[in-house]
Amino acid sequence: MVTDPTLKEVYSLVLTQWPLVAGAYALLWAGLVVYVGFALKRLNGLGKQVEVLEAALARRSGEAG
Amino acid sequence: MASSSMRQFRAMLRKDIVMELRTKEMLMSMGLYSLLTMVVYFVALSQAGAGFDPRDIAAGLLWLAFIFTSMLGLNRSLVHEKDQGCLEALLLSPVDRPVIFFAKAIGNLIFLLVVEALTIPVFAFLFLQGRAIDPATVALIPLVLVAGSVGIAGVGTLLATMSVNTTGKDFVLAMLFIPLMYPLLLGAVTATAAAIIGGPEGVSLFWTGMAWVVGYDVIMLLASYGLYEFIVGA
Amino acid sequence: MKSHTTRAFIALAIGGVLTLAAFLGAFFWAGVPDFGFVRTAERTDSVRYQGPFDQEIDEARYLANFAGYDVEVTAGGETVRGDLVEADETHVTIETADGEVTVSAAEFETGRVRGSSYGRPDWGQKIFYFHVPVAEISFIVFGFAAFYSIRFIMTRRREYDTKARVSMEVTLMFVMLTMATGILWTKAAWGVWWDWEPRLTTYFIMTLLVVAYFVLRNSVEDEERRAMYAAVFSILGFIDAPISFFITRLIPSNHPVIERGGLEPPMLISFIIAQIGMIALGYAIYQLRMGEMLLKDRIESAKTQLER
Repeated sequence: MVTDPTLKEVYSLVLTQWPLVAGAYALLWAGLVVYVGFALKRLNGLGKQVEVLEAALARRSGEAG
Repeated sequence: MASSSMRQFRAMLRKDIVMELRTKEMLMSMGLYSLLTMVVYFVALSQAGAGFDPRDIAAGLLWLAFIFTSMLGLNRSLVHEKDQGCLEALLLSPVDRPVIFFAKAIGNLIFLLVVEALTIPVFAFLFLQGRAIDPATVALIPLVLVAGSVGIAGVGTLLATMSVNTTGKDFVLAMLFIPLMYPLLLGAVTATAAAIIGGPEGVSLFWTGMAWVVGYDVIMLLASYGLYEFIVGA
Repeated sequence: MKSHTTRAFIALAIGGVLTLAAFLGAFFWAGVPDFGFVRTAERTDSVRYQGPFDQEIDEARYLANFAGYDVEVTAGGETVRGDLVEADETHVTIETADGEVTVSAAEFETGRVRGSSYGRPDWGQKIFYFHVPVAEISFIVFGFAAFYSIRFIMTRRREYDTKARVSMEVTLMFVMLTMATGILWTKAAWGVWWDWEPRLTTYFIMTLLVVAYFVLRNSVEDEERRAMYAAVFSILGFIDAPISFFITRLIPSNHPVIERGGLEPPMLISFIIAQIGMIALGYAIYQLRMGEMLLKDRIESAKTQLER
């Protein structure tokens, strides 16, 4: 427990900035991680589609040839 | 070569003006639109109270009216060209692309200046009656008006040529036009406000604002002139 | 394409490690600069005492952070002195010997804050290590978008349009992050969420330009025309953004700037690591999106071949 009025004042000033700084960092990281996460997920889905399609294409050209 | 370009330019400009004189459509719509803006201003300022001095924000209000009116006009002038197939016909004919740009831009500039010249007395009559205004500095306003309108017409013609070919026409024009116009508007409002308030400080601030507007005009008009060819051909 | 994803993962790993290192450096190695004032009547040795302070305030809202301080406000020709109760854009309330006095911000002429100055750690400054690199990257990537747009206009090759568009997407991402961190910092440091201050205003204009680019793209149907319009607009936007930045030099800015040689080594090193890490992350995102675009192209071509 802080009893010294000066220190109390100092700490209260310090602490009011905390949520904002933490919020800014949280937003920054969340933004980056979510964006990269979604990009990776989409990339994965597309990769699977490409595999299926190109396998189908190869099969067909194999049948034809 | 140069003289043939000049002839093409004059022909195109004459076409725009003759058409306008016949239908008076653009001047009518722009003029009435700016008059309606004045009514909205009156409503917006009706609760401002007795201590309020309209001179403080007169420059901002004027340029606000000009910017919205000009968007209406720019959109109209190019929608006409497109609907009647004029632009395509021009592209098929052996006309230099820069000539098309200058003819359209100067046509728009003329209409815009006419509307501005009509709006300012109306604005002064409605909002600035009985307010002390320094006639020496107010005489400078036409300078910034012309410089600002040159930028609006030049960049606006390029952007309107793009926006008429989009699905969201006027919205797209506003979205492209207003952020791009920010430096010009800020300089023009600074200069106009300085001229209205007057005094020796006003004069120096006027020239600072004016320098910004002219600088913007030079840079952005060169860019628009260089890029118009790609837009109109796309 | 495989190479894009590989490059993206390498960049992602480098960027992740560097930004994490920068984060640790920023919070556990670099010092916290002193900033601000504390109102106390008595001197104590428990905090770093720096001496008395006496500061002029020229707008009522700047008093917002000084609740409880000894203030003197001149408004409407009268001077009021006492402890500040609260202050914002509209009013200032002061507790005097005769009770509370409220002054409207419109009448506010000058103010003074008095107290003792202590080394108050400025935690808000910690934003600097990431806010500034992210903002820088947004400019750099915007530059790349304009560069690819010029290349597109010169060559008319579709790949440059894709590159410009993906660069623009990365710009949008970083602009949003800069805005978000900036707004929170503004609240922490200035006591308001937003201020029409030159740097903020011009950055907001740049945000609008980037958004407008995508509005334009989405409203043109023809593919070649869309590419050309977008290229022209991104060049115009990139010319306009610096003009916006310089024009507001007419007005003095509140936004902090780094003074030459003003950073201690731990701070400077953390900052530089954060910058490199952010560049790597930006590059990773760019490569990820490019890989996605190329995969989409392959799917399209495979589909058209299958339909034949």
